Amino acid sequence: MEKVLEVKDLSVQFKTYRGIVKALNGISFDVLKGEMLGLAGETGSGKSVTSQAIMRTLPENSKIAGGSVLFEGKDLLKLTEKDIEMVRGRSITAVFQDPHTYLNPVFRIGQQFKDILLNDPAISSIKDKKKREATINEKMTQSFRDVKMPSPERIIRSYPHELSGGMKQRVLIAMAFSLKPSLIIADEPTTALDVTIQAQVLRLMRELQKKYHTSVVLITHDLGVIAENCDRIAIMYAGRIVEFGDVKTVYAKPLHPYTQGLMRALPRADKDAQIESIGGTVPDLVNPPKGCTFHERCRNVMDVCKTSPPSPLFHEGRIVECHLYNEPLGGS
Amino acid sequence: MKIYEYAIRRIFLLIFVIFGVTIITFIFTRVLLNPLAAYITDKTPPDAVIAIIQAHGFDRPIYEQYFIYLKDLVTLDWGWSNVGHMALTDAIRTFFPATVELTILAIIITVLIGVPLGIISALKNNKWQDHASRIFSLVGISIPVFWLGLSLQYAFTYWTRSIGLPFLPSTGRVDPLLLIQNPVQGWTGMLMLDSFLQGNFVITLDVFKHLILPAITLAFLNVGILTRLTRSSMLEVIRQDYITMAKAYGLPRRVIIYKYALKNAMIPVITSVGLIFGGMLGGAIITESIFSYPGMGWLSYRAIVFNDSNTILAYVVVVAIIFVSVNLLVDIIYAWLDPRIKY
Repeated sequence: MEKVLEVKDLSVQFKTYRGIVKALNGISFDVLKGEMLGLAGETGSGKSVTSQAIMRTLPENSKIAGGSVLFEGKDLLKLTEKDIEMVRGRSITAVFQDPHTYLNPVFRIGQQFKDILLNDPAISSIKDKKKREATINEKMTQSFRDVKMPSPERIIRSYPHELSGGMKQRVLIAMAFSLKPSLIIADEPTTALDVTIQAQVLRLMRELQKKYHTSVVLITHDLGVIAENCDRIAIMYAGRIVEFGDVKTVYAKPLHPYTQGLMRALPRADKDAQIESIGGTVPDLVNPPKGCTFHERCRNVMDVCKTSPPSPLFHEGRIVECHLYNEPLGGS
Repeated sequence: MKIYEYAIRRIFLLIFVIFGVTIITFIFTRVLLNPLAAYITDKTPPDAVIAIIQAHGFDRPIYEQYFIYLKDLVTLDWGWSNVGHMALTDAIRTFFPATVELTILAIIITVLIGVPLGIISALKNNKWQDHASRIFSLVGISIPVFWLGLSLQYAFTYWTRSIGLPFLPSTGRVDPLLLIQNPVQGWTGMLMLDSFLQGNFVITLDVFKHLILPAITLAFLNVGILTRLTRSSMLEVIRQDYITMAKAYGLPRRVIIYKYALKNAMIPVITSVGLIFGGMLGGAIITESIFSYPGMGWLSYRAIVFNDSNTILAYVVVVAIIFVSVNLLVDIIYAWLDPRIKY
């Protein structure tokens, strides 16, 4: 299958008063055309940093320490600020976590939507003002129909505070899909919504994704959401991808001890089992532990884990980063 | 509720506020100062003094005096201004437009320098432009007004004149000789506007020259305040999620900063500009005194020094009206800027 996005060995660091935070330490993954990829991990594992690095919206105190982000054959990290602006909003868009804060409170929805649509050269190149406005209006109405919003005309004239959270998230989704991008990065799109709306919103995204054959990177810490919606999953821990493979394969038999821990921590309806948590806390990324970053919390820790970091291995149809599956060293 | 309904309700409230202000200032001035002083001199015969006391009701109880005062206030019979050497209504008609003229120029300088400087400062956060503008605003806030006024007079009047360069006038509102040669009819009382409308550009230019130094003095402190406020407001806004969103959707930087961020950032700035404007309209006592500029500040300063209770009373009422009106205006602009505000 055709790869839309290929992240290779990406490292990102933040300068802080405490020292350099190594937020991403050489992560590699790819997104195939028309698939939904789940990016899972705890808070601070680097999920959002990954999305910011891809879109080049990292804060000023950050530095891309290495790697490349190939998108449609171009390395996004090497583009000029002007060129990346052409990619953002047209080829790559985003759906964000909190719909309440991601819409500008002092402009009408229609006004904000219009500015996004003007990114499209096909629209902004229409010289006749009346015709352009008409095209924009038609496009907005169509987009709102896509996300099943009643009375699009009313929404266009509304201010964000006049809409409910679910409506606002639909507006954001409509905006994200409106220019038919090839990639959408959805950073915890349902976290701020209540559970019933969450399912609706995800179903909607799934439908639109199928309809327009868009690739989606779904960032979440909810493994259930990934199981229901995604094709493949990448599990992140302390700035690394520890396991990456098909959702079915990984869920059926998680290999990395961290993934196993996450699975045990899921509440289950079919078994009357206690929920287990993973002992310990996320390591400090200013001074990450030597060797494998997970070794302090790992059940299967070996001597080698404390000294040398594991490298990615192909094992049982997925990529996993763990010394357990490194036959010559861990096979004893 | 519609915005004009709100405005009408606020205007009703405005009346009560001014009512309260008159009670307090009336009692203070009547108790502390001699109301008779405006009407008599050493040479007034004693029987005439009694007649004046009776004519103005100074022998009545204070609450009755207050109602007399209130009646006079409403009927625009505000009495005599000793320091203005004319009836008070005339004095205000003469001095207030001068202050308005000075204020408008000063507020233009304040906004045109303060707001862009604050924006640059925020966009170049912690770069040299930011440091320069922060030092500039700190200096603006710290310099005493009287020192700045005197220094400007020294630099642009005495020093430039002494080395034979063109210089700016240091005091007054207009060259009186020039005004006699090129008379201006008083339409609004604002000399610069009147002369401009009447095509009398000699006076327009002369008035403008007289305004430059006091306007800069008056603006300087406020430029500092406004720069800091704009900077912090802008910094807060560009960290908001909706700015990230606009970036993620590839909107041009120009649109993000000057449309999406600016409208949000201007909300607190407008309040501040309103308050500064109201404060300036009340007359800048120190600035106007240093430059002998015949405005409300100069009038009130002299009224206080010479115990002119009539003028003080009138001055306070005028300032109260200005402040409440400016606040009303600010609230209306608010509603226009921020759709979340409902009345």
